[in-house]
Amino acid sequence: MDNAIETHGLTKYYGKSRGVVGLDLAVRGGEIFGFLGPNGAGKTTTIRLLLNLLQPTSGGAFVLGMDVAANSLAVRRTCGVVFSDSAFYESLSGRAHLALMQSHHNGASNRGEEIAERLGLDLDRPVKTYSHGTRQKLAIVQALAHSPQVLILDEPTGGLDPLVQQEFFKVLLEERDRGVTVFFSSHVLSEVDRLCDRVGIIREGVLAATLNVDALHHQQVRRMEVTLARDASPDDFALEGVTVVACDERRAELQVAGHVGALIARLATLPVENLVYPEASLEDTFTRFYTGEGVET
Amino acid sequence: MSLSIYRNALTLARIGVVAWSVVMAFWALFVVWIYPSVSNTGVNFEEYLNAMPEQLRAAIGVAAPEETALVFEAGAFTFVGYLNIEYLSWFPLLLGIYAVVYCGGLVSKEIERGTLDVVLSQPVARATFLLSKFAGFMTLALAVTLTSTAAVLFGALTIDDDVSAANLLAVHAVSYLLVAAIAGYSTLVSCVWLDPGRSLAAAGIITAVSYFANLLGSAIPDLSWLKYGSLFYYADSLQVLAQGRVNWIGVTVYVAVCAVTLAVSIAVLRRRDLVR
Repeated sequence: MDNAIETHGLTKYYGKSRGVVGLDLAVRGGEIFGFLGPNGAGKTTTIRLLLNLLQPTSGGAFVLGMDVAANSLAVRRTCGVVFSDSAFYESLSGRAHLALMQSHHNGASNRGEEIAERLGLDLDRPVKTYSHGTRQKLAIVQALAHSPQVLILDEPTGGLDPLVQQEFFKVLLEERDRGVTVFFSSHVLSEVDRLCDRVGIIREGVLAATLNVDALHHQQVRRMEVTLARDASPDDFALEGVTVVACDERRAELQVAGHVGALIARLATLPVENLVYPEASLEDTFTRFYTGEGVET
Repeated sequence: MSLSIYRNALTLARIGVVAWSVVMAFWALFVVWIYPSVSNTGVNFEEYLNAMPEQLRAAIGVAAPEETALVFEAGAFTFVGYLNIEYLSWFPLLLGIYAVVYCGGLVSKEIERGTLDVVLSQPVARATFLLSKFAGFMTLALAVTLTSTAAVLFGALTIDDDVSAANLLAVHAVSYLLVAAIAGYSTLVSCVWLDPGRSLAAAGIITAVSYFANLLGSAIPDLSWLKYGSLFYYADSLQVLAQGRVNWIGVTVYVAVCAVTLAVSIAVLRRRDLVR
């Protein structure tokens, strides 16, 4: 399938403030694309540009081949959207709100009830009585109700409890299997790692890297703690991709980037008494993209 | 125009519109029902009014001999004169305040609450959203206007006083169009300043300036040109109520202001970045 979402040199400045700069994105049809970045990196700006809520300073964006500026209504007909802080008409019930939004999708299927049931959302209560998490559930139900071809999700899991989050991810994977493209903006690496096929990393308004989640693993940085039977020296671990963070008598704390094979071979020659090698922290890997340090794109 | 957005606008404002209608109806009935007591006091209100400075009389629309003839009969208030001074000349101002409050936040309040994002992430054009909500307001204003008309008519019937139903309807119709013009420019400022505090303040200031321009222009001969720039000048409720003489130039001005400001509002909103 062709790209479902494309941006070409997409740039947005708010006066002199930077939103995004020269963004070239290509999200393949039928994939879950993670869009990672810290707060203020330009994730929400990108989403608002895709929905034509903002006018680009330069460049363009296309959804399912349609220019979002020229075919704004047609684009939004194909999209389901969750904002990070979705707002609702407070005095309406969840059901009334859903009906209001669904009314703009003439003839589209209505899976609102089904999704609401799966997420455990009570549609009969007024929105003003909903907790933050329940509001987020309503936003998700609203986005999925009309069976969109493209889902644009801006940090959609805020406030969801782990069980609901699990069910939501299940729904997203099912949607992907039906051919729906999911643009998943987040700053939570574990959920992107778990859910996404590919990841785009945005830093200070610029796309720092686009890579498969597998490749993200290869670029990951892991910590290792080694205790030797004798005093440790930084020279014991002088290998490419290995940084000695601390070396204190017999104990050394290392940071290992990329493949670990060479280090294991070196450790085999040393009198290792204890080894602690916790699961990779994606945060550490991610920090490299943020700082731009040693990143392969 | 989106029927669901229009219906939603009505639903969300239902309590407010009932409150406005009830207040206006009670005020109208109160004014009408105390008229017999006022007219039977034996006080010569015409003399009392004539003792006031001419500028003040001009400001409340009873300076010219032809105006005085409509308001007083043998020194006492005529029913239409009294009704105009105590109620109908205030009606468009009060409904105008409702227009300022509602339409001054028509877009900006939705942005502040974040609901505009949600609506415009659906296949809804900005113009459709704006016109549907505006139509919602005009329906609400119509409900208040019709309630007021009915209340005055009912009150007049109960005190056996004569007032032309057609003229009364015409006064309310002209007031309604004046309110439509106020709603139009309030909507425009709501699109220009997407911040509700600023947009409400701007719409309120424009309305206040327009109202006082009419008062000053009527009271001070050297500033008479001011009144022609005021929307309130063209309402002339006394002439309509007493003689059925509608100022058609005024009607045209109201319709034009409403249409032009709405068209400009749509053009402005289409170009705006929508950021919370």
